[in-house]
Amino acid sequence: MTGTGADFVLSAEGLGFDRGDRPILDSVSLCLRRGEVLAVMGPSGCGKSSLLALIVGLLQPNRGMLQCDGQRPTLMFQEPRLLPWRTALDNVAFALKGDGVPAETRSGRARDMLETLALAPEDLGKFPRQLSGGMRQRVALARTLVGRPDLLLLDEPFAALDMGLAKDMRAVLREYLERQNASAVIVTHDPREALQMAGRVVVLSKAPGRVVFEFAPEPAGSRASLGDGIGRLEAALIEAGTA
Amino acid sequence: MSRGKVRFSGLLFGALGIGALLLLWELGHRRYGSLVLPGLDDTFAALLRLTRQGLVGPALSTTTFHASLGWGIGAIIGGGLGVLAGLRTPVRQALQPVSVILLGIPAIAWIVLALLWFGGGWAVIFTVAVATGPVVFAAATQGARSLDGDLAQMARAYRTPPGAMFRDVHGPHMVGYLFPALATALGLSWKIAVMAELLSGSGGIGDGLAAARARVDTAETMAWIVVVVTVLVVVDQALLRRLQRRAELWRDSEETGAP
Repeated sequence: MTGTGADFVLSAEGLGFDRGDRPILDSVSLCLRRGEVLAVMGPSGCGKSSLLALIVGLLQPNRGMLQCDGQRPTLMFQEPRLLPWRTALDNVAFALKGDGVPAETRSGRARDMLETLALAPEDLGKFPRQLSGGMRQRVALARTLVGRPDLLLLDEPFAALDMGLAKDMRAVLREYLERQNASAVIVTHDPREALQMAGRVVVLSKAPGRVVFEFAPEPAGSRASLGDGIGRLEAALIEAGTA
Repeated sequence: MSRGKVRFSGLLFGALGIGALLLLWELGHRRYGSLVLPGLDDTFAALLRLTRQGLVGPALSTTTFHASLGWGIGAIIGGGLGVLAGLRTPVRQALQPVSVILLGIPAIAWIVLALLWFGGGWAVIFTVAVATGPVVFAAATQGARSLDGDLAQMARAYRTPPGAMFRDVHGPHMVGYLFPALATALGLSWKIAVMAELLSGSGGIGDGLAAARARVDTAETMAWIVVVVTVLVVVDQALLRRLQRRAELWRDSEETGAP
């Protein structure tokens, strides 16, 4: 599905990206409405992370058209990528420097966001190496959300977290997306996460990645429909891996 | 072991080491006599006399000026070229052999050349700069080559302005490489400055040493050495180590109680 117009925050048509001579993405067409969450799945190396980097502007496409109307698109990487020489609080406040937020309000907003993500006050002044893996991921999520982005690009954001913490973080994220009417593209390997978080799921083929399957799960589906959705996605992923 | 105990143990064994050195000095004096090695009392009497005559202060400030200016010039040129070499392969390929050649030339040879080229205080400053510059160059090259691309990409994704990019992303990384090199170069700059002053007669502690040697006054020679060593120890303990602890707090597990 592609589209243009005021209701689309993201629109890609025939998007292609090469790394050197090697095509990574080929003829990818997709779009995203304001307030919509799209999950992107596919085999490893099919260009999911490259797609997010293209949307946020870290990479430039070799072919096709990409239009991003998000005022503040923000990318959360697979790894936390925290500044090792800055405290948890300063790492979150760092994200606001690019938005020109005055220094006196940066710390307050960073503190509020970290508290929302249940980081204890005594942990705010700790350096990344003093934090557990889960705490580092929470700091990274806080850094992503503190700038109040209207388009979130999340690259396997909860893959490294234990089930309980991942569930809590998903709840925080959902609450944020609803409150801000923000859109999101979530890259994930977990069909359950894709179905729980997204209104639409696309599956890319192995490299060069192309959209080979698109699926819109029923909103607030039953356990049976969730099971059916997982089955369909798993079948699509197996097919994408061998396509 | 707790931090307090580590600190106490450091002070205790440090004091024991210095005490053993002073004891060896005194034993050497008793064994070989005052001409070869003056006693502790003679040395400190000579130091007191030099201070009362008003010679220590001006000599100290002259040597500080020579060493600091030479170190500063070496750090700016060596650091600047090192960063450039770290970021651009052709620059690195061109400058690395030059740096190796410069590092291979003994400081004493530079002093002789500098005396012929400049003479006076500038000979000292040039020698210090040319001897310390390559040390900083090597560290800056390594630092710039190992800049973390992932962190830079993260910062670009947050549209970080250039100033913050330097302060928060690249600067702290470079400090980790540059600080030890700058500290080493600072110690080196003092030793080379004193040596160059001794040969050039351009004032400073080296000049004082040359005068003491001309009079065969070993006690005064040792007194000047005590002045140099004291300055280096004070700079190291009161300035460099504190700055280093502050700059590297984030990776020091004992300071931060990291898991």
